Amino acid sequence: MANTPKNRGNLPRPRRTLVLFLAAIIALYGLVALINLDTKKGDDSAWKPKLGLDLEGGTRITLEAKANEGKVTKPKLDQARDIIDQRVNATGVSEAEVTTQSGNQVIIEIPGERKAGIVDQVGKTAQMRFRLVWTQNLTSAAKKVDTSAQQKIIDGIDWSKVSLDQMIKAETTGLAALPKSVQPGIAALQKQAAGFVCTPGGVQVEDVSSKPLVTCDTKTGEVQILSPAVIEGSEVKSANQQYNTQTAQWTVQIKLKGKGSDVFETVTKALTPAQNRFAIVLDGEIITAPSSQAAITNGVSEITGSFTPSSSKALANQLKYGALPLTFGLNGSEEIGPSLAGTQLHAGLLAGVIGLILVVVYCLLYYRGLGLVIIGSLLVASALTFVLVLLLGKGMGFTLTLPGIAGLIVAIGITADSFIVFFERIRDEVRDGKSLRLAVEAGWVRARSTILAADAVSILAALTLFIFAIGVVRGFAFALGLTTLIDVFVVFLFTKPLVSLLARTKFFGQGHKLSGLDAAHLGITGRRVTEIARSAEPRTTGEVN
Amino acid sequence: MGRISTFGQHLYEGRISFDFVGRRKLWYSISAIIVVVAALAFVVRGFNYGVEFKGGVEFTATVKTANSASSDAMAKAVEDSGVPEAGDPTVQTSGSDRIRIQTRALTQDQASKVTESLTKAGATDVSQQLVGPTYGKQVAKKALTGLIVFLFIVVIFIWAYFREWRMSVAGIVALAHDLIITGGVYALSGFEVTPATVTGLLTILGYSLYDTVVVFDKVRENTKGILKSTSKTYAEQANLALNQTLVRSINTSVTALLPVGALLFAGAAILGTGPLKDLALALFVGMLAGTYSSIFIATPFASQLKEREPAIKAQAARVMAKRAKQVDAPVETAAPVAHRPVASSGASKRTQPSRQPRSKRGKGH
Repeated sequence: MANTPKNRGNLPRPRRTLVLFLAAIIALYGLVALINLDTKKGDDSAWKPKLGLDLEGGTRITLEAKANEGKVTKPKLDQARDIIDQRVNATGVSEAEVTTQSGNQVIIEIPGERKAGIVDQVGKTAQMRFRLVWTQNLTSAAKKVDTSAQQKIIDGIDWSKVSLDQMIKAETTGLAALPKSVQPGIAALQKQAAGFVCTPGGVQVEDVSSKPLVTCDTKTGEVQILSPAVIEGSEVKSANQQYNTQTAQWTVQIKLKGKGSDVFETVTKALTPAQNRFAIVLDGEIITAPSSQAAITNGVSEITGSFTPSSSKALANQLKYGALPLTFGLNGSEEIGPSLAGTQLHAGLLAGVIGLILVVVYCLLYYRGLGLVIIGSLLVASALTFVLVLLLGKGMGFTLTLPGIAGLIVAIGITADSFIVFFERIRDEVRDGKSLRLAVEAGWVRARSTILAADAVSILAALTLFIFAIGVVRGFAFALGLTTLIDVFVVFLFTKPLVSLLARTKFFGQGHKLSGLDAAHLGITGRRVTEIARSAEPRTTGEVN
Repeated sequence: MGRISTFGQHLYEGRISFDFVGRRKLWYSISAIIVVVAALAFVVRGFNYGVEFKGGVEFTATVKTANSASSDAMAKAVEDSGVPEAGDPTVQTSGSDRIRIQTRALTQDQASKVTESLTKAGATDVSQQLVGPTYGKQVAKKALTGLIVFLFIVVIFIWAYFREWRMSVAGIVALAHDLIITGGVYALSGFEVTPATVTGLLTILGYSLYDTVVVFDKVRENTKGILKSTSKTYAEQANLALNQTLVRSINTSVTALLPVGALLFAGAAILGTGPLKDLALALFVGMLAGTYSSIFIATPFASQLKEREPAIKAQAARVMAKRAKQVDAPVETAAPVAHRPVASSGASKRTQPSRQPRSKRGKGH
């Protein structure tokens, strides 16, 4: 037992813990106040939680599949919906809704006002391919030349006969290394490149995986002739936004799957001696064409190219969840109202408040004085939840839907269990004859492991669901993890220190009738708590005062 | 309330004891009946999936000004259309002069009826479109993957924490019990299954295991070093743990169910529609089942599995043999030893300052 008088010197000072914890909460509120000072007129106040689609409405964006890439089928549209859903709900906390409509549209509903660039972020095809640079440093033509005749020649050649080795050789030793059968195509490509106009706003090329491609980097204006794709975007295992501290640039780090990784190793190995280049092409545009500096064996590649924090994040998201099977165009965007009547929110909040008041009444009746500690803990938990919802709303777009609000209210109710486990343990210890001060410490040691084990289950649930699930389920996992952590914080940093302090008071320490710890209330007949303590542990009674 | 506390003290000392572990066959039978009914309800009636899962029809009605008054008028028009399938629609404003109304899937006939009713209520132009589900297959698939991984991890966690695979098994059985019952209540009540329901089910998943772990922790504490004990069996100690945590279980259920009950009342009785009742029903049923199963299913089942272990079996036999001896040669116990070892609790070896002769005990505490 860790509760001998000797050990008590090692225990944390409850008063200090309590003050620090409350100060931390006040600091969080201060942070919200600071953010609020910073908000411009017209923006939402930082003191108002971000509400979800059902309560506040938002923006509705309609994307329509372009028919130019063959038929729009239902499986393709559903797949596109799933990918867009993952892109929109990448963090899982904004509760955006994505659905299909009329067989060729995807509807995205996002809470709040329309954000700039959102269509670009979620509706972009994001077809990424690695290609070899067959001819580099060409310049953009002044006037566009019709090259459909050349395209026909290129389309008429079976490029799949060209092996990876031949493609690499074509880059390292010259295009003459390619088989004779494809040489007419090379001539056509060169003609196409001579008449290629690189417009800074973006280029329109048809990027077909199995064929070589003439395109450019719109940032530098460099036109290149590229080989057929050597690595497909579907070979990307993961993609993450990264900050390169050496170059002070935002980049996107991608990791390739087994086969893609092997090809990447072969390619970089062959290109490195002469520092030849390979190009990463996204939706037909070269985003970066680095020269190979070393053979890369682990399949990890970094994409650089004047990214901003948000554009690198967007690209990482697009690559991570895969390319859309269809090309989409914006078909309209409008503001939408809330889907739930205001009465729903009011009724929900009222019910929540009534429910929590009932909890308070029950705790007071049952635990009397200790009930006040539960109420205090619940208030602190609520205050902490509220401020975190505000901050997460600002920081990562955490929005509250009506079920979300209900969930938080319920979670706060469940939080009370930790206090109950703790108090029942204290009472058990008192029944065993310990003085209150000792009972608090001994009860805490036992309650602590129970609380941690039980909360660990909730945290595990939250973590696994957050990692594996997508969309709304992810939002739930986030909320569950948040409230469980709040529970742990409150019981460790507020409830326990508070009870330790209270145990030193006369009211609780000597088992006042209303403290909830008096003998009669505990069902111990005839004696006061201190007397029990005295008879059971005569040596420690001197410390009860 | 004082009486509950006294009750708590008596439970703690073992003066009052409910035989949760010993009468497990009874609890198993009760649960089996409920689970079978729930499963049957699911098979026969199935779930009433919402638009979010199945897709439906979306009407866009052009009105003079789109506000809450005209939204309500449109919602009423849908209800008045005489198409029950279109009941409980989602209505929202769109832009300044349009109102969107989403209903479940309708036939062409039914859709025409709704359009007619909307036009009657003042909509100048009504268009209709088919909408797909927002809860795609992908969401369900990934959520399921997450669940399976979680269950796998939690089995390992409980096993590692309690050093007892039997508790993992019992915990999962109790969880399945809770989820099946909640699902059955949904099938029976005909409440719509919406994303809010899924949220509710996931909450129960966490709560059920949470509650089980709390009870198991006490069982573990009470059965520590059981093999050396000659006075109590594993089953008796497990049962004592249940009795000792009974007050906590009651209090926790009350505090957790009060807010949920209030939400359910507000959602179902006052509002009648909306996501509140979907969520609250799942939570209310699931939490009740969760508390019940921790006491009546999980612990008796874990104990039953444990009792099959040879060492535990031998220990129980030793305890019984010792008791039989005491009955043969009663020392000074005037009272006959009870059939069930109700009187012998873990409290007997502890200091019990409150134990007083019956005559000196006060009344009415």
